[in-house]
Amino acid sequence: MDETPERPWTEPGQDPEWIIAAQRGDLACLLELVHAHRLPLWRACFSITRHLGEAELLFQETLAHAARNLRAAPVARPVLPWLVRLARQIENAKLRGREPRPSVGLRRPNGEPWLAGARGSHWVDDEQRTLHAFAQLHSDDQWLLTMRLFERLPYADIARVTGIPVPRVMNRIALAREYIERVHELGEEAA
Amino acid sequence: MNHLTVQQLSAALDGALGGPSLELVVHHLAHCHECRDRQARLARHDDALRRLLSQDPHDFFLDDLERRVEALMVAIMRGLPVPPMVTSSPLQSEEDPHAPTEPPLPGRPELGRAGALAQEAGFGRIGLRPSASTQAPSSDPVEAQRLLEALERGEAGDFTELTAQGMSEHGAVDGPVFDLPKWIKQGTGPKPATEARPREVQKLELFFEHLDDRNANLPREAIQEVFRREATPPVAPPVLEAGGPPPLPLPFRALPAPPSPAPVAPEQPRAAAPPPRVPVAAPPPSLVTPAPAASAPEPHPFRPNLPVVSPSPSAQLERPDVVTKETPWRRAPAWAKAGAETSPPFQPPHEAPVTDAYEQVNDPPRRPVPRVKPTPRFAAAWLLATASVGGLLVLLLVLQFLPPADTPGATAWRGFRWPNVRFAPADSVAPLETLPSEPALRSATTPFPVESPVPGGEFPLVSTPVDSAGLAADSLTAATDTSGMIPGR
Repeated sequence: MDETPERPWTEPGQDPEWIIAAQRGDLACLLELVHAHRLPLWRACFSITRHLGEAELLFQETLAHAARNLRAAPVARPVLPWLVRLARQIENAKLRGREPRPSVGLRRPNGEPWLAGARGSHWVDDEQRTLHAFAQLHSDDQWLLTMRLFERLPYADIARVTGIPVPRVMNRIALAREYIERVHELGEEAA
Repeated sequence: MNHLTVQQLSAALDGALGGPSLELVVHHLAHCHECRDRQARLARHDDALRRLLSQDPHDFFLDDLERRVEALMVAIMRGLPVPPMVTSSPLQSEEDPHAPTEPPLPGRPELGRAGALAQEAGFGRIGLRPSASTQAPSSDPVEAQRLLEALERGEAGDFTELTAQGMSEHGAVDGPVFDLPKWIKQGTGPKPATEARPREVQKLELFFEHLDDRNANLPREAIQEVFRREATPPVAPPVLEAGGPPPLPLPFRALPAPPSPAPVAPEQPRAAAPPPRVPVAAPPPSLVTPAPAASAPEPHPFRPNLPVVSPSPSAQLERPDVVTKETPWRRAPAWAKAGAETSPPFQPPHEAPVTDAYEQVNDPPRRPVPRVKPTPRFAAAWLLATASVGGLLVLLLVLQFLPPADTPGATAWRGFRWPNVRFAPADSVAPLETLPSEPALRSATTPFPVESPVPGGEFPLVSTPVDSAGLAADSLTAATDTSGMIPGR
């Protein structure tokens, strides 16, 4: 089991101690920090890239960048939002000026093949349409949905992490869901 | 009937409603099947996203990833060269679109860790190229030498650690079970050679080791033919008698004598005592031995029944559909046949480092990519467009100096004039120069101005209205001044 804090997104826990020690050059504390936040950071990288190999690369790049910029790490606040912000910035910088990644890859995001099995081909079609619609969203909306659906954070915590007011968080999540539904319907009509 | 908004449905899905809002939504959903269906669709999309993107990997995966990150961070914190970043699965641009879509095989816990590793690498999956290298790892030559010498002395004790541990406990394993030969178990191996001579390891060439892409399309008969001819012991050519019938032509043709390759073999002097198990720090340099003199091939020291491949070029035959072992192009690798340099050793793409050192990737600023590349075709098109516009402007300028169209002998398109537009300041009182509306001189050819407007308007106002007889009518003056119409019409 990971030694993640109870609420790693909003409560700092032992992050300030680790960060201060790491800024003084304590490597063990830095590795403890990485170990404590590795699972939510991996989930964030995976949802940002929607690909297993790309998520691995982004995970390493994020932590390498964080190790280089430890002076900029927040001391009195939780570190996980800062790490995820770094990951999003790195991903946006990598895709800037380049063609966007295909929304639906050759395989599932976790590397498994797109096989329907006994559930029927419409099952795979629905999943691919949903993934395509999610990929078409703005990165901020993707991140809001990620925090709500995957991290299961309440609206108030999402507002604290992202700095967006709660009503706006609710509205953007609702509109993102509506967009996904609309794209899904268009895909069904086209099929 | 007012349906619920998507904000209400979304908040209800997330459990963020309470009080009257929750009662309203619940009451509406109880009576409106459309809103229920829509909320069910939203929930279905949420579940699909959770299935696809919310993945908690195994601890093994996270441990391995954390080890790589740890190496990165240690190098960064200590100022050492940063190792390249490596991913365990291929990147999105490196994915094989022709990879089979076969589901992963079920786990085989009875195979232990080796089976798990093989399954992870893709072995055993039909049509899937294993992600791991299919070549055996390079062995330690010192250790191999020691084992071979121990084998010659009949000491089989060192080979016990090569056996699969615990394989006999599982009888349900399908496939060949590895076991030591009987003569190794009984210790009745062949006696070591008495005379002290450099030990030569017989080169065994197995056919399937060379089953490369060029040989993969061979028919089965051709492969059997190769095996049949190799298994046949070499026979002496028959002596032709004078006056006898000529020999039948063989279906093969002899190859030209290939250049004798100079085998490179590390010279390992035969020592009386086995070398130490732990290799020394500085291994002995490998020496290149000269090419051995052509001699009769020696039989295998342990397996005398193995077929012997004759090294003489005259025995090498070639048929278009049959590939022999001694064919020169089979000995030479593909890169040598193409005249290229030595190719690097095979490395699966996902094992190759995806980046260089970290600072080399992110530190140099990126140059903006030009949107339009100045290709020669683009330059020619640009020049043509510029010349066309310029030519048109010059043509219009020339037309300015030609006589107008109403000049005798002028064509209709001549006499183009720019619009008579003058720009003057607002407070300017200088009257604009007006063109004469009619020609000053009239001749017989001057057309009559039929459509020229009547001066003074359609209904001219006169100061004194007259009646039909031309007499002045004072009683109609007032009516004419107000309406402007001629009375009586």
